[in-house]
Amino acid sequence: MTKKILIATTLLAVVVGLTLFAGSPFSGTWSSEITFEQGTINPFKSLDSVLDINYSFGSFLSTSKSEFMLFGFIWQGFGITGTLGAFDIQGDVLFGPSTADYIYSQLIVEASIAGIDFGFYFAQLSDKVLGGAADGFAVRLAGSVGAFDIVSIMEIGAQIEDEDDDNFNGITIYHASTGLYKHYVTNPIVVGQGFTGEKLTVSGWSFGCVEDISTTLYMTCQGFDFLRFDLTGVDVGLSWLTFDVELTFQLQTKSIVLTPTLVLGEAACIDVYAAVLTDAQDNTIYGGFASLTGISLYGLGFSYSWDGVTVRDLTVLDTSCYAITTPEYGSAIEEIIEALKNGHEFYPDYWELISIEVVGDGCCGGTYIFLANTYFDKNETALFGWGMTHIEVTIPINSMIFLSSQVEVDTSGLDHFGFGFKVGW
Amino acid sequence: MNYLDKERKGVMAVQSRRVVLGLLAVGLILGLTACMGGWFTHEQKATLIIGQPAISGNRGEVLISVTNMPNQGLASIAIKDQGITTANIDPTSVQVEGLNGFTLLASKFVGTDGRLAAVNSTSGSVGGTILKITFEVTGADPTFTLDKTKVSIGSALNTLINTWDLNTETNYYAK
Repeated sequence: MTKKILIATTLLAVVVGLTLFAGSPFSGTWSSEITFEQGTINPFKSLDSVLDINYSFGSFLSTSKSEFMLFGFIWQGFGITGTLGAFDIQGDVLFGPSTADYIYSQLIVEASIAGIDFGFYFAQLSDKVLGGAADGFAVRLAGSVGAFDIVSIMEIGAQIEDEDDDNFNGITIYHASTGLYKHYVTNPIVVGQGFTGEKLTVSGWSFGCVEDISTTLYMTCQGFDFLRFDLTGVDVGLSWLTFDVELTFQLQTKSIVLTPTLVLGEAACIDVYAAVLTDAQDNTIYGGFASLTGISLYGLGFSYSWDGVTVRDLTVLDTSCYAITTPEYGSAIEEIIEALKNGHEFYPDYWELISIEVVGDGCCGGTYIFLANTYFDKNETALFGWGMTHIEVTIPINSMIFLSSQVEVDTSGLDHFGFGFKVGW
Repeated sequence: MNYLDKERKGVMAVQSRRVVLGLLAVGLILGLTACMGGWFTHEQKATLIIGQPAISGNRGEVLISVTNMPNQGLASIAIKDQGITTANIDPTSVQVEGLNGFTLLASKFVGTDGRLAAVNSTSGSVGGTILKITFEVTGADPTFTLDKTKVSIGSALNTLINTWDLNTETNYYAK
């Protein structure tokens, strides 16, 4: 008992002591959460602890991020961001402390001179990562000529993430034992540094019936890879329907894919989730799939806020293709394929969410948050088909220290409960 | 004065455009001519990854993941009887959970042998975790090994994936 009091007192002293750094070049946060579950093996479900330490000097900010979980010290990242003359600089280094391995590093230098954006991206992947070692860099030049935006990316062994192109996703590094991952924009793809690709994109073309026309040419060391034309928001004369068109030429093939989009008006408080259906599984038009088969109303949403209280309701009508994401991912209705692609966690069996969130000022600074989410299960036959209730509370001690608690109850009883804290300085 | 300013700005704008076009052209030409070096491009194979057992007290977890899976990703996995061999694990405590869209169809763990089948009916997984196996540890250094010859994996296009590697050594993988 004395030992527990001693540990608790020491922890409290450390937490309060960290706040004394306020005002110094040091800043940061430390957040931890431990959860317990009922089970025959042992009661610990999870332990997550993240320590962020920042140090500012001149126009630079250096950061250290340490991430722990129940099974050990998983990630240690260091970063630096700042400005040196005309150059914006960002650097990241990642280590795996549990295996004492260097994992990855990247350096990004950007500048804008005479209307031209220059970007230099370098990255290196350790041979401790499956598929490594690899290293390389890419040079990005972007500018405008009249109404046209031109972007040239020369890949010397590395690719840069492009949010508009599924072929260029950056790099995500996984820890195989825990599934935890880190994502970076520069993806080194070769051993040694040689030319691997050139991507030239011209966008900004617009006709009266098309929002934007973009052309992308991609060449690799093997030669021509693809030429693609993207037409966004093609107006077909119907106020409720537009198409996106993707026309791709590869060396021996040509493909065209049309993606229909339903245009809905602004809703006051009821959100309607709907999509145009085609006879293809992914609801696009290509090849032999050329029919619009209907409109799917796959979800409804309601949200209203007053005086710090927000009430939400989400209803998924098509649970085979759509789901509600977990609170960490915004409690939103998302297509399951998209959620899987984006790494968002979701509840596959819950078809309705009723949520109440109360946010207000704490007595001594900071804000308190109370969140209660109740889910209804498509497979349950209990009261109203109730499936699970998730409650979490965050209480500020002052503007820098927060205590939190959560509990989750489902049809089998108490699933888990947990406690946490967050301290900033 | 205003006239001179406008003229100067106009000249600068034309120069900027020429610089942009020039740089893009030079970049493209340099890039394409650099191809002549014939550099080696690294390729990653489709891989099924068995994570090292993560142990906390008497509780253990093993994650099964994939990376670089072809044909829109892995959508089914079947591990035949004796495809899984365990040591220092209580077989009665084993629980298998599907992750990221995967659903467990069946599993059986008896003695030191195990088998299971799981499927993702929505889409395939090109890379990421697919199964979590939780168990009670009964001795030091619990192990969880897979016999590749008794594992079959299928793609989202309903085709068997025949060419793949099994990885149990590397602690990290990338997608």
